[in-house]
Amino acid sequence: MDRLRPDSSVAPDGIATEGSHHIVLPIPVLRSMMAVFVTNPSAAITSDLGISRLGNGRTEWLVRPSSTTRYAVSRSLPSHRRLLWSYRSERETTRFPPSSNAFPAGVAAALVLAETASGLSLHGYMQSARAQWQPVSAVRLIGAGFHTSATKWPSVIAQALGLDATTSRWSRTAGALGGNDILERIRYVKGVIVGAGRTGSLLASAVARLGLPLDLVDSDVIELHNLGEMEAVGESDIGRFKAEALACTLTRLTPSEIVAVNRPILDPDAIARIKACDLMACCVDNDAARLAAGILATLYHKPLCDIGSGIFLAGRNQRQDFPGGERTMGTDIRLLLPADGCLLCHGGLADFDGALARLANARAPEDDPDGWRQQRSGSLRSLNQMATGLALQMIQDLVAARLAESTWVRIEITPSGRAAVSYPQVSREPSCPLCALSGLGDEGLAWLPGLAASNVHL
Amino acid sequence: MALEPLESQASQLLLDDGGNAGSDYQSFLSHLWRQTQQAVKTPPAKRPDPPTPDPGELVTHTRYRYD
Repeated sequence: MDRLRPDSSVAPDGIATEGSHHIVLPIPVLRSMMAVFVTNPSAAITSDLGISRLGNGRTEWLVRPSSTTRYAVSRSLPSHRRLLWSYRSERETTRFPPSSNAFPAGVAAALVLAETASGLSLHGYMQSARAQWQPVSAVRLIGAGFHTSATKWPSVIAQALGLDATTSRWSRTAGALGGNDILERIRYVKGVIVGAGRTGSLLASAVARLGLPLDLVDSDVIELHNLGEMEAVGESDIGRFKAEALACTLTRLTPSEIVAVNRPILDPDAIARIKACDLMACCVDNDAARLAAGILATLYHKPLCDIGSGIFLAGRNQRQDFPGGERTMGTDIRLLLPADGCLLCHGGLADFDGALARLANARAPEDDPDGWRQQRSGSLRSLNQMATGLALQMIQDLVAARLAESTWVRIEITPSGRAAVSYPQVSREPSCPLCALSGLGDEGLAWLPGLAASNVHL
Repeated sequence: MALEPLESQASQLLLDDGGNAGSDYQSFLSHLWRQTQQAVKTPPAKRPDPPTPDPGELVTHTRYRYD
């Protein structure tokens, strides 16, 4: 786990020295702090900070939800870094950053909400090695809109991408999304897709055609039985890594910059890619990998789009949880936003105990080519296309700030062939053990028993 | 501090600003601030309890996990 060692930009006590520093702030956390300042503008509030070291001097400081503090303390987690919040009204002449002699113990960063004639602004600062405040490279709001203090989207990004929506290949897409600025924001999002098989390849193809930079994580190789439903691979790809074959084809067909990570999700290379992304999608076919994706998304404040599908024909498999009816066929699509409920809060896992056991024991999957027949009846590209189409729409609406909260959608096709879309009930527990890890970053990864050391093939 | 859940008004942000301000960091922050002020200072009237779902219809767990 060399990538998780502290880099030179952060001293062991968490004080910033040099390099690029981002403060990563989930919108629900910002909202809760705004609510405090509305009633008490002079309140002195602090949040816990997690840390994600990305290498090359890049560091993300993860602002943790206040509800996680009690759990963290009770578990004696090592994090002791804190972020100081303050509010400046338009009438106040006090300059920010705050005075350097007003450092509460353990405070490594500050966020200042400042009301000006042109509206509200939010400024982030880190402590330098000489006990001075220095501006961070960016404050990034995680959630609807993917807003950041660092970029003026229309001018900078449009120039960088050479984008002219009136003549470019995306003119229709930009028009349908509501404008060039939304398209540009989407193209700026760096995505990671975990699982590059039947569903993952369809999602990867759709995403790559929008031009997003994309990493594909999958350690499986292509077999003959994959060719019937996978996207963008052929017979000549049999025996190649799924991620690699898919990346090669999509790089040729689309303008997207695609990197193949032919490793399991808990491999250090895969974790490093996930830490550096803006958005994760999980398209795996087992709940152990799904749980691992959910844990990483929670630790590092990554929005997660999780897709699972299944088709069960009566008498054709041994599953006992689909009684009656001649066919059960559907898909669960969950878009989970940091600090707004986790994978366990929004539907959990179909096989949570099995997933946990596999992660804890680092047990390899069953190597049984016919095992799938006992779990399900098969796979249909039509169902997976529905799932990935809706998932991409949800991602687009998230970036466009139309979708602003965690959302779980289920599509089911009845035995008589009618589609039914539902939004299942969400059952959130205040003591959710996964939510308690929100924003813990590298320390949480190291703390989870067996996880960092796990070599399980997922 | 117990707060009423804030309504999702992100799409309104786009409409409020002629479809361009959705891309703007400060506009987004200002909108969020106004929204929070409104929610805290003028709590919404208590909503009627949602209809009790039929237990047979209540779905709280995922079913599908493949592909």
